[in-house]
This record gives sequence, C-alpha cells and structure tokens, in this order.
Amino acid sequence: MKKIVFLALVGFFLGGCASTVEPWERGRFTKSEMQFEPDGMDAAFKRHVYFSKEASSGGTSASGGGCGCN
Amino acid sequence: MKSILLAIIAVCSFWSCSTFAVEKGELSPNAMLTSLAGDKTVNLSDQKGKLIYVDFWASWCIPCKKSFPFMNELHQRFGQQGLEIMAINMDENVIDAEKFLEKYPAEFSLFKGTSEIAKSFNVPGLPVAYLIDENGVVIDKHIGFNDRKAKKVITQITTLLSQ
Repeated sequence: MKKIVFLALVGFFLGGCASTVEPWERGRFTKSEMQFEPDGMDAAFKRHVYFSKEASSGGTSASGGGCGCN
Repeated sequence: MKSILLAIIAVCSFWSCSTFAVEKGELSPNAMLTSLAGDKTVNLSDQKGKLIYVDFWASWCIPCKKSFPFMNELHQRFGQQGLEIMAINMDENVIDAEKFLEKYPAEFSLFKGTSEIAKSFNVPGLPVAYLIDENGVVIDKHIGFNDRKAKKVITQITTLLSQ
C-alpha cells in the first residue's frame, strides 16, 4: 500500500510539470526562430544543393522515395 | 489509508479539469479592463445596457488582420446605434500590438488582456469574439474569423439593435 501511495504522490507531483500552453500564449511559436525552416527560399536552395549532390530527390517532405524518376 | 488513497486519486482526477467555457445564454464574466494606452480602466459589468462585441486578438493572429477592418466597419455602422466594440489584446509585449496597429489601425476601444481575463472567458483560440447583450448575457461566441462569420455577426447585431 505504501508503494501505491508513493507512486500516486510521484504521479501527482510530476503532473505539475505537464503545464499546458494556453491558446493566447502561442505567440512565441509564431516567431521565425521557432520555425524548422524560417526562410522558405533558403530551405528550397539547400534542398536543391542536397539533391544535386545526392543525385536523388524525395525522402523529405516531398512525395517519392528517391528513385530519381520524378 | 484507503481514504488517503481515495483523496489522492480524487485530487489527481480534478488536476486536469478546466473551467467551463462561456457559452451562449450564459452571463458574461466580469472583468476589469485597462486600455492599451494604460490611461483608463473599464469594468465590463458597467457596460450593461449596451450591446457589446468583445474580441480577443493578438498581433501574431493571422485572421485578426481581416477582423480589424471588419470591426472598424461595425464601429462606423453601428457605433452610433449603441454597439460598443472592446478588443482585448493578448500579446506578451505591447510593442508587438503597437506594430500591428500601425498596419491595421483601430477605431474602436482597445484593452490589455491578462491570462485571468482570458481564463474567465475560457478563450479557445484567437481570434474569438463574444456578442453580449444589454443584460450581460452572451448571445453568441464566434471562434475564428471569416466572411461567413462576419455576415452572421452583422445579422445578429442588426436584429439585436432593432429590438
């Protein structure tokens, strides 16, 4: 029983760590430094260089498996 | 020991419970609002007797760029007839709101929002607008903004003001 109480208490305190981001607190997510690809043009250029070097395309967000037939 | 366990489980169960959202037909929560410029304070309950359009917005909210010209239109069209538009800003920094207002100027009243105010309305996202009648009852809640919602708001306001 002590173990159950201990586990329940641990769960209770850990629950405090799981605070949610309220809808009005999402402003920081919209900042450019929070984006995976803040500059679309730069990302497209990098992808082009990468695929040129690899001699294949696809396997990122684009469809296709890198067969080179697209 | 069993009662302790029961109490812990009960507390854990209620831990994630959120407050109830403000829905149609319910009384609007009371809130003390400070203007965005910080020069005046308004109590929402003092606005009883007026038709109020409370809009929660932020500079990073994309539909707000469209809702601002719409609210200006509402103010021009229905302001004289008794419609009060209260736009509550939820930005962390007022500078962001000021930059937004340079691009999208507002002719209506702007207020600083706090988490407490947003929680009291249980804001589900931005923008969200509450149409509150003269008795303080929430007539409708509009989540998001688009042309269809704009038309609905105009119809509702026209009906309420003609009563």
